[in-house]
Amino acid sequence: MIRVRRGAALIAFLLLLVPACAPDPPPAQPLFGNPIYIGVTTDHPGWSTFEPGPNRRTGFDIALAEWLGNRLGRDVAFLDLTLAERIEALKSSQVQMVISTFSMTDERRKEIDFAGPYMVTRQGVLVREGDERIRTHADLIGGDRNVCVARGTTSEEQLRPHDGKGLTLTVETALKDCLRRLVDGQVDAFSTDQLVLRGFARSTPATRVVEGLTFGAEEQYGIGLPDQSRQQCDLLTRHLRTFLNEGYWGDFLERELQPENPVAHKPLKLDPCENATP
Amino acid sequence: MGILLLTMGAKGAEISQTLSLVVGVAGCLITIYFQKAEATTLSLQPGLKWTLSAVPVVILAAAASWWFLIHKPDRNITDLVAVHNGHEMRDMDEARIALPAASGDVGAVNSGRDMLALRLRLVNPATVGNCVSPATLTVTPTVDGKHGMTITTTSDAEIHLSLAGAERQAGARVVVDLADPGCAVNLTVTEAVLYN
Repeated sequence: MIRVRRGAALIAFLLLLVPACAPDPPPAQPLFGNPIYIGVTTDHPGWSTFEPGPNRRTGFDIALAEWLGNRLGRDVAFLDLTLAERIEALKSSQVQMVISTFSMTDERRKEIDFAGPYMVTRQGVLVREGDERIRTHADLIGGDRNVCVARGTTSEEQLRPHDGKGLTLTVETALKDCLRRLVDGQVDAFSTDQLVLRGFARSTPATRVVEGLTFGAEEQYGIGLPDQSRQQCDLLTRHLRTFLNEGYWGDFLERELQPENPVAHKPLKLDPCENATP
Repeated sequence: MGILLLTMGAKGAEISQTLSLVVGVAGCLITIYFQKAEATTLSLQPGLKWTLSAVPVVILAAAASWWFLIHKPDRNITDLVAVHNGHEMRDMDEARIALPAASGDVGAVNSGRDMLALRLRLVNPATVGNCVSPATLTVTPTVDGKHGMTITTTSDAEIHLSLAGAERQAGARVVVDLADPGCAVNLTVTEAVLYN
């Protein structure tokens, strides 16, 4: 019996040694492939534009995407999306992330994840230069104005309750179509995030942003990720912290948008990443 | 079983301890049983062997008596918890959570359980706004009018509050800290379990 016990003890000792002698585990799968497919829009001056001739993309979101690609040691492949296609592109794995003035909302978090925010703004209003009829929120929602918004945006969500009551809502697929309607006099105003409107106003001098008129919830831009992307979110959040705190954010904003008060648009802290649902 | 206990968090600690005791005692009994097979190598007196066998049985009986006669099992009171002023809460608004005050098995007062595992959830009723994820909740338990230790938590995270000594009333005050002052959220209780 003593011999049996000695044998058992020896086996137990050898079993304890197994983990120490086992070969190294295989290297973890990289969180992002190469290239990284990033969904962007093509018609947001100051944020994300594409010129087919010289095949050139410019804007804050493009600069952020390229900076991230560089930090992650990956090439970046851009995929053109409309605003309404952003969530579906993530859900169908068409892209690995979306960087496109993408407002983080609790509603969207039910379907996708976000890393961020990297920018804060509010809803604003763009009108034709010289048109003084809309000065306040009451003028906008109660003056029987025709207001254009883009489909699938938080702007549409916030003005939809007033449609048919104090204003008429015109919904377009792309923001540039709203701009065209405004310039052509087909609508009285064009509403979306104020920082986005500043980009349009800079590119179209016949228009201006109504100063002092912001409304609705804060729009906090984040990087859209497929649902259950906790590890990718943690990694991007670390890089965004560097982006915000080491001068890149300020440099890119000054270069692309030149807002009057940049500090007002800088997020005070980054959101925690969502836990993966078991 | 182990995984189930892990998912229960602190609420499963008492069960773990009881289970450990039972397993330990069972281990002792098995050891003594096998010692009989080695009678040739052991020199214990028969009387001492019986005593050694009896001790674990007594411990086991005491544990069983404690578990079935004295011990209070965890009590899920989620459906009995009331939330006051938890609708459309703005930044720094305060809500009050009232635990059922009835004495005995259905109440938080004199129930024989000193701890409450609580999971609060914030819901943004609007389709816009990034309100829930950045929000924090400051929870202060109140027992018979006295405030306990404040805990800061987030939506859907489990916290543990001490209700020790509650004789008349037990509950908690919850203050929401919303990063965006434009947000309005609803506060709900998704889990409330009394335990020891």
